[in-house]
This record gives sequence, C-alpha cells and structure tokens, in this order.
Amino acid sequence: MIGYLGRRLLLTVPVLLGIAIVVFFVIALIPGDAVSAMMTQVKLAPDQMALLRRQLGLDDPLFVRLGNYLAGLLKGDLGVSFFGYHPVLRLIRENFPATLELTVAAMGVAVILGLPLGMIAALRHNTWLDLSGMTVALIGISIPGFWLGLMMIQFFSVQFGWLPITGHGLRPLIMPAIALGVAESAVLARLTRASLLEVLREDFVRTAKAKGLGMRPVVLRHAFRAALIPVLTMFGMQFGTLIGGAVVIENVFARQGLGTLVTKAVINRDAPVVQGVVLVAAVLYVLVNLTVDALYAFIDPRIRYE
Amino acid sequence: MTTAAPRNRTPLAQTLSRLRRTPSFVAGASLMTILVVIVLLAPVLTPYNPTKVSPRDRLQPPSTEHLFGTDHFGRDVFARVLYGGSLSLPMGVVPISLAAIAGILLGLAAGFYGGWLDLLLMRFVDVWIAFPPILLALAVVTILGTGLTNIMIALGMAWVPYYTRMVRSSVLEARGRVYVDAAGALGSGNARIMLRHVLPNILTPVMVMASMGIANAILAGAALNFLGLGAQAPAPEWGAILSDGRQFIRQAWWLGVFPGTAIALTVLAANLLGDGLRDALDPKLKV
Repeated sequence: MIGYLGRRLLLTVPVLLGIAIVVFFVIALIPGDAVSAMMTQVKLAPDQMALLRRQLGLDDPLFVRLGNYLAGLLKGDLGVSFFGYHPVLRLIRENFPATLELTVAAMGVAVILGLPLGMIAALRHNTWLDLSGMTVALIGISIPGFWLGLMMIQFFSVQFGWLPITGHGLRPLIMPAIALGVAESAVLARLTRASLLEVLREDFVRTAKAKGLGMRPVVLRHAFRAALIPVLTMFGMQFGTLIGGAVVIENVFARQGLGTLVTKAVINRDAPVVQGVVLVAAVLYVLVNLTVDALYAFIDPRIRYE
Repeated sequence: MTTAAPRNRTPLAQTLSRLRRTPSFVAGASLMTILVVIVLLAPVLTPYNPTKVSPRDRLQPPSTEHLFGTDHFGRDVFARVLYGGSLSLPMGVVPISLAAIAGILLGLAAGFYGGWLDLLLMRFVDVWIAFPPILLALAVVTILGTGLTNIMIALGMAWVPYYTRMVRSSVLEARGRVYVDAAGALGSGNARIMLRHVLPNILTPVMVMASMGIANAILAGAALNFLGLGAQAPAPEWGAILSDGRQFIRQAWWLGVFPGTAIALTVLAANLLGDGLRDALDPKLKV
C-alpha cells in the first residue's frame, strides 16, 4: 500500500511541474505583454512603460522568466492582478471557500439524488422503474445547469419567494447546489447502476444468495460497498466538470467565488488572475485524483497490483 | 425466424441494421434530424428577422403572431431561437471534430511509434487533462479574445487529451492483432498499416466518444456564451439569448423557457445518439 502510494505520489511531481510550465507559457504567449495590458487602465509615457517592464522582469529571456515564475510559485507568489494590484494568492484565498462550499454542496445533492436512483434502477433491472429512472437521468444530464439555475430563481425566488438568491447561511446555497449537482447526480446514477449490475452478477453475490441470505442483506453488505467505487470514480472524473460548472453557476447567482473572479479576469484580460485560478484548479484536479486512487486501493486491494 | 440475414451483407449494412434496432439511437437520430431541419428551414418557418429591433413590440407574451413572444428590443424570440440554432449547433460539432482529429493524429503517433515519442506525448497528455475544459477554455479566450470561433477552438483544445488517450490505447490493442503483423510481413509501410488496418479499428470508439462529446460541447459552449465570452450582441446564439434576456426573465418567462428548452432538447438528442451508438457498436462499454 505504502509502496503503491509512494510511486503514485512520485509520478505526480512531474505532472505538477508540467502544469506550472504550461500555465506560464499560455500567458507568456499572449500578444502584447502585461504592461500594455495594464494600459487599458492607466496611461503611461513610453519611458515609464519601459521602466515598468524592466521592473517586472519582462525584458528577461523567456527561460529566465520561467525560472522566476517557478521560484515564485514555490514561495506562494502567484503574481499580482493587473487591476487593483492585489496579490493573486490573496484573491484566490478570499474566493476559494465559497467555491469549495458550492462544490461540496453540489456533490451532496449528487449523492442524495444519484445514488438511490442508480441503486433502485439496478435492483429493479429491466423494469419500468429502471427505465423511468434512467430516462430521468438522461434528462438530468441534458439540462444546462445555468439554465436550471435561472429557472429556479424565477420560480422559487421571484414567483413564490421560497428561497433567497443571495445572503449567508444554508438557504441561499440550496438553489446553486441543485443547479450544479443535478447533472452530476445523473452521471452518478448511471455509474452506480452499471457498477451495481456488474456486482450483482459476481460470484460472491451468487454465493451469498445461495447460502440463503435474502436480497436485502446481500445488497447492503456486499453491493453497497462496491457502489462506493462509482461515487469515487465520479468524484475523480467529474471534479473538473464540477469546477467548470461552478464558474458558470456562481455567475448565475452572483455568488462570490473563484468562478466570478476568473470570469471578470477573462473579460478584463487580467492574465495573472486567470493564470492563478487555472493553476489552482489543475493542481486540485491532480490532488483529488491522487486521493481517489489512494482510496480505491484502500477499498479494493486488487486495484493496487495493476 | 423467417427473415434470416443474407450472408453476404457488408459490415456497413450490418452496422446500420443494428443501429436501426437500437431504440435510443433511433430516438436521438430522429430528434436531431427534426432539430436540424427546423434550424435550416428558419427563413421559411418565420417571416421575422432575428436581429431586427422593434421597440413598439417590446416584451410581448407568446401569441399567434409571435409564437415565443418578443424580447426587450421587440425582437421575435421564435426567430431568434430558430436562427440561433445555426450558431449553437456548430458549438457541439466543430470543437469535437477538432478534438477528435487532433486526438487521432496524436494517439496514432504515440501508440504506433511508441518509445520516447509515446512517453513524451503521454506525459504531456497527463498534464493537459488536468485542466478542467471550461477553465482551459477561459485561458484560451484570455489569449485569443472573445468570439464564437475562439470559443470553438478553445473547447476543441480542451478535449484533445481525452481522444489522444483513448486512440492510443485502441492502437496498442490493434497492433497486437495478427492482421497487423501480417500486413507488416507482407511489406506494407507504416503509413499504410496505420491508415488501412489500425485506423478503422479506432473509429468506433472515437465515434462513440465524439457523439457523447457533442452533448458536452453544446452545454459548455452555451455556458461560455452565457458568460458573454462568445457570440456578441445581437447574434442570437442560445446561451447569449439567455444572458441577454436575463434581467427581463422576471417579467417575461418566455425569454428563459424557450432558448433553454432548445439547448436541452439538442443536448438530449446528442446524448441519445451517443448512448445508441455505444449500445449498438460497442456493447462492452454499455453503462
């Protein structure tokens, strides 16, 4: 186990380095440099611009800048926003908790809706329950989350006044979490159904049934444990989708978070902020998948030996 | 069985008959065909110009005159949704085609030549895949600027690594087959082996992945347009219509319901097509 995790961890290091390099080059490739980008806000004389360029190290050769960038990252320096000159790390730190809250709540919605739906569909395989459950799931993955959000605002806030759109506490979180989580719950329902159907065909389930155990204990003891795998898979696989979705949903509900931060930055072409958020999202993706792999190995020891 | 299949049917005919017997494929294909036809026939189906402003007709509810009502500029929503289809449908097809073509080339190269090229490409794919598609698209839009074409390029780039990985593993599988060895032994060059013998084997999984990818690309494209990064006013792209009419949805529900339903129906059709293709062509992937 330790050996497996050690190897896995070691493989992560070059990937993280690669991510940092890619992020650096993506922004280095922008036509025009940081100083001219700032010029949309303030006007400087050419000699002042040249001075600023020198100070920001923009005249250095590309590989020197890359070295400086990577060295900065190690010290937690993600650069400074072109607008307002706030350190990017601080902006991310301020906005991250709200995004985390939203994604965790959406995962909760996904599990609450998706897991039972998938299990019922598998246990009642090829019945009308299965068919209608999977039809609901298909519709679920086809509805744009941001549109669902808009419609919920219209009906539950504007028309009936049941739920607040903004504010503090749990209640304003309900609608965004559903808007973000419904598609994930549909994905989870499909995964759970498939994995449970596979498990139900396996020898140990047949043995348990042959021993005279009823369906219920069989499902609870063996199959439920096996159903943890799709939850984990979904989390690893869908983490990127979830973060991307959060960007859009935050904008729909005008929620604070990384999504609204990065959207504003893209529109302003505030490269350091975009760079920072994209970097953080990619690193999180790698770390989440590392954790998922470790948990797989923990739940199902067979996986380690592959 | 009274209608035994004739023995000499071509693989294509067999595939088509299997597709015809797959309900989700039939449903998806029919729905998609209807949607495409409606979009293409927009100029026949509506007399209105989708971008013509008419302040007198502001925020009219649906009626026989304006089937889907009018927006805050008095533009006919039915016309906007219909014409918008010709901007929104490519949001699914173009990026996925780009991603699939690039993925096939990279995956073929990695899987077929192996060695350091494979190692290098696949490590790069490991890095590439870590960027969530929407965020990668945001970064690309920061570089290229906003606009429909740029969004399509951005989304295409975001999905390349998924195709590369899948194509590579299919190539590795195909390479081990006897007929590939035989072709080599008979003196076929690498290019010929790849195109004639390996490529046909990877097309099925690519098609299945692409048809599902189209659904995701339409959703992502609509979302990016909704964020204002794609189509610029007054272009009637569906996501853009929603973001355009956003402040008026309170008074005018039709501004939200119709464009959203158009997106959902298109995505549903693409998902059904994808499910159907998978069930018919690649049953071992069945979820």
